[in-house]
Amino acid sequence: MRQVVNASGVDEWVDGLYLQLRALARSERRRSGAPDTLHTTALVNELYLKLADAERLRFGEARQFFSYAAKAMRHILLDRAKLQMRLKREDPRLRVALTDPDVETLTIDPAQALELDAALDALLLRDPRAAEVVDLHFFAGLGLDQVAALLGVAPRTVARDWRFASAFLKARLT
Amino acid sequence: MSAASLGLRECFDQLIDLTPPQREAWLAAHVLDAELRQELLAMLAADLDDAPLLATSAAALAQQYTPPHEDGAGLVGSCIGPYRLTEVLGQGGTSVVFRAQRASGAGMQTVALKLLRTGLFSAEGQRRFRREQGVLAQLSHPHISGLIEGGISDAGIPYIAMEFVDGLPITEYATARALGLRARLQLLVTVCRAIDSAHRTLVVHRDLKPSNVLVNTAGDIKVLDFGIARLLDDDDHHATQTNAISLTPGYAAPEQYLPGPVTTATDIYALGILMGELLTGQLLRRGHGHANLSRACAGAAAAPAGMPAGVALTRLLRGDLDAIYDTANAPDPGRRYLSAALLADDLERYLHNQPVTARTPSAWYRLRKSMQRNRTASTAAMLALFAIVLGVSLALWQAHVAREQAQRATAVRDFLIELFDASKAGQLPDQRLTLDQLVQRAGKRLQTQTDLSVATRVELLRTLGEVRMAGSDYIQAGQFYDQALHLAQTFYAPSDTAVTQIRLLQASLLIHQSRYADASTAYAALLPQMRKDNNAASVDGLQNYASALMYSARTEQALAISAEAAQHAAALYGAGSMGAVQADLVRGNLLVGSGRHADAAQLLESALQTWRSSGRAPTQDFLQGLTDLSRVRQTLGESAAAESLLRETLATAERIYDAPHDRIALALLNLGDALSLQARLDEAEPVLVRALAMMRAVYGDGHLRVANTLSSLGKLELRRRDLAAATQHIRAAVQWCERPDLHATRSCTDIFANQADLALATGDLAQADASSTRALAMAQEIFPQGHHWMAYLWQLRAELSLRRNDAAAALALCDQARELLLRLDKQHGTTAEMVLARRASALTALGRPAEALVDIHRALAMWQQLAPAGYLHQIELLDVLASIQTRLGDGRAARDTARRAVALVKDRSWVEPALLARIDALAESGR
Repeated sequence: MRQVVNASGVDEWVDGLYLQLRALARSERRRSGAPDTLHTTALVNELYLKLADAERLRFGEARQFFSYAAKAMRHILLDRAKLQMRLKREDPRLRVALTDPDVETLTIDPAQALELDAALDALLLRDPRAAEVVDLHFFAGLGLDQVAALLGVAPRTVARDWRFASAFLKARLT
Repeated sequence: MSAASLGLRECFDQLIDLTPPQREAWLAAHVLDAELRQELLAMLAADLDDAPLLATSAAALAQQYTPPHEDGAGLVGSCIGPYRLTEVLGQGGTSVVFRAQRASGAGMQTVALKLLRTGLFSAEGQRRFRREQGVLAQLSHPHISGLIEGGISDAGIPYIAMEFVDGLPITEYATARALGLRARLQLLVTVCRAIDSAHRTLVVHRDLKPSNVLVNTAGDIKVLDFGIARLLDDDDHHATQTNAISLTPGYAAPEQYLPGPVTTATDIYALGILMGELLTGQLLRRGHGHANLSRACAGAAAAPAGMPAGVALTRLLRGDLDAIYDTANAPDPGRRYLSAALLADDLERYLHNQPVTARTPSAWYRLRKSMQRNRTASTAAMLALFAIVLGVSLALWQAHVAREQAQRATAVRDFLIELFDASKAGQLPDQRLTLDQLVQRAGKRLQTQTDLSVATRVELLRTLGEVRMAGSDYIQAGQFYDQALHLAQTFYAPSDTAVTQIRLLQASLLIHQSRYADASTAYAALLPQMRKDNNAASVDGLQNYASALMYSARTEQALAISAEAAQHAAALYGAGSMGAVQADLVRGNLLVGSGRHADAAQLLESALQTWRSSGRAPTQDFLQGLTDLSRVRQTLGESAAAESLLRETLATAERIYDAPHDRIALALLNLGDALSLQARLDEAEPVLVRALAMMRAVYGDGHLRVANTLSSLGKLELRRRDLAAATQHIRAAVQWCERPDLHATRSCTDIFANQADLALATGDLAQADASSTRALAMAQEIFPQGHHWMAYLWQLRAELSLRRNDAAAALALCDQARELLLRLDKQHGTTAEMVLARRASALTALGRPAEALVDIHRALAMWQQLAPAGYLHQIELLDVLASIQTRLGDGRAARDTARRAVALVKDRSWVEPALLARIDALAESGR
């Protein structure tokens, strides 16, 4: 579980993830009036606060770190999906951007992302570890082997968790 | 074969390893619940299906949902206001900068024009843009790039025209010219002076970095973008959060990550970072292993052109420049240079070979320094230790009636000094002790060191316990108290005050751990001793005992003990003395808790007034008194008075404590709750977010207070119908109430009630049922005599019954709630109002609209009085009224009511969609 974040790369790595989350949060903020905006910003900042002190980011805290990152990413995804849905139906006169975002090129319907979020809540009640695997793999972007190392369980177990979780979630998507 | 005991996961795991025919056989052989079978079949089908959603990563998906960034190139050639855009100069997260021109007299004026990527929508945002612009226009300094004008284009996009500077970032300039140390420092001095001049007109830059400090071809420095970040912020009401948008990691001061206003100290920090980059050629990062300037460049590959390399540079920077850099970059804003001018002065002193102020040696300064370097220890905890240590020594010195005590004081002092020597400056940072280690070491030494008297060792062990208790390390605190008690019992008589004192601390430790029932038992055993002693410790003990009783729901007993504490205090300190006033405040707190609001109001009002007119500095007790009185005012429906008391509490707390503190966080929490009740959600949210950040900073996760704050935030989000955020926060709060050693507490009752509320909003009736049952069980355990919370929970369950189409059960629950409120004499208040409204809905569902009409009118009138500003709930009440009027066949009245409701709607996303559709349709009817 130690290879997940190596000591010398921690600063850059944390900054990189922060900036990635932040960039997503920031573009949300540009469409002001969205009620989730402030919350996302606070969440991302909070995430950074937890991590900014690299001396505190020891290996043992990696799991917690990814769990926070996953939480932030999940929130951002949900916001994003809502934004897309809003843009689709919103009065175009309210949209003051330099150019209009092209909302028609999406390959996955944002409504599915919303359903996914609800399904994840259900999964958490059914099988918390499988839900954590989804967090770390899908939201925090770790490979399944890394997830296994992080959770301290066999890769096979994580693979089964993921298979169960994806079937569970997909079964709930329309 | 039966599979009754198999869960979804077990079944799935067994099935996926099988071939399709084997699966069929398996399914045929096992008796499964129909629902489970259906779910399994769906999952097995889904398992074969390759849905694209999960094949992508969340980040990629979020990116896909993010509207693309516009680079602005398409706008070149177009006009914004009087300016024609000629070229894109740069991109920022929130804006694009163009070179632009406009006709000016006979020639053309070239400006840098900054265009925000999105519009300022709110009227307030636009007003503030104009106001701030006025401030910036007055900012005139030769080294600050001036604001020429700002405006809002026809499309609503704000723009700012600034003096166009053709130059290089200061770091690149210095390198291009191969400037030496002195020339670089002189440039920095000029920057500092320019910043200081802006600070004196109360403008903070907030985003200083090399790309904002340019040097033009003539060698003149120009600082760009002064105050622009603030200018472009759209949401003024989120003023405490505005820093979030404009920070650049690496240059941002630690406090910029925290909610709260940005001050000039933030710019000082950025100047320090700029200094580091200018002198070493690299962006140095605080808290990332580089303790100081010279050490940072020791490992650097190459020095910037014009500067010596390697060891020579290290030697050059060591000492004064290290000290200046450290002072500018102190993590605590209060420890930095007070102004940019002082930083400039120090740099000039260095240039003139005079001693710099950053290195003024003083023992206290060094001690503080060494404390700052204690990484794991919070400064507050260290100061607490010092306060206690100094307190013990001083008190003993002052009381030097007996030679024995004076000797003890010396011994204590020597012992501590020896301990602290180990952590003083002069050692490598890694070898310095943390507070934890220090306390550990002290504890160990006290076990073995025999040259200290037993009395001294008892006192020190007890003190160490108090330090750990203040640091929330309850386990270690308990161990120290146990050791102290053990040792004390070998030396003192069992009834000696020294022994009682330790036992009292052990009991208060139980309160800290929220073990109120155990604490009550412990205090009960000490009661005869407290009555006999009648000293400050026993008055405190009695008060704590009363609180413990209160929290373990023995209200009558709590009030009796609290009365006794007040008597003791008056006897000990004298009637009307501060001690007595304090005791009154504590008693007032208990009266509020037990619902005796009129008594509490009177007692608190007079105690607070005595305090204010005494001119005595406010303390925690004063703050608590203010908070308690505001709660009383709130309950009595005087929300304006309540709010003003809460604002006084917050202002006072911020005056008393300069760092994040439990009390400031509590004041924020209470204020946020009060604003939230009045549906001022936009004002409430930043307050609660700040409260949460501060609670977490103070307590870390997994604490009652953090759970309470999460729950409040969740409740607010629920009001605003941001169900995802509400779910997240309430779930996090519930975690605290789901720990294994849980005992019933008021907070958890409240948190479970919130969870039930949320579940109703999301339509998860099973969860609503479970959570409200849990809350109810807890409330019944805490208040066997009944409490208005139960009425609240019953009306929640009545809503649940209504959702399950059992209106009769709903009505029965409402009637039960009504009777309880009658018995408790609580027929006025938010709970009573909720019960009335719910009963109206139940009656309507039962086809008894005439009776429902009476209840809903009473509910509306009561709400109007309790929270006149609470329009969100008022909309809900009007919706019920309109549907009753419809039932009664009075379409006209229903339409008018619906119109009233529609007129109240501000943000449509805050209102439940079905309700909104209902009132919209009704309001439009007959038009």
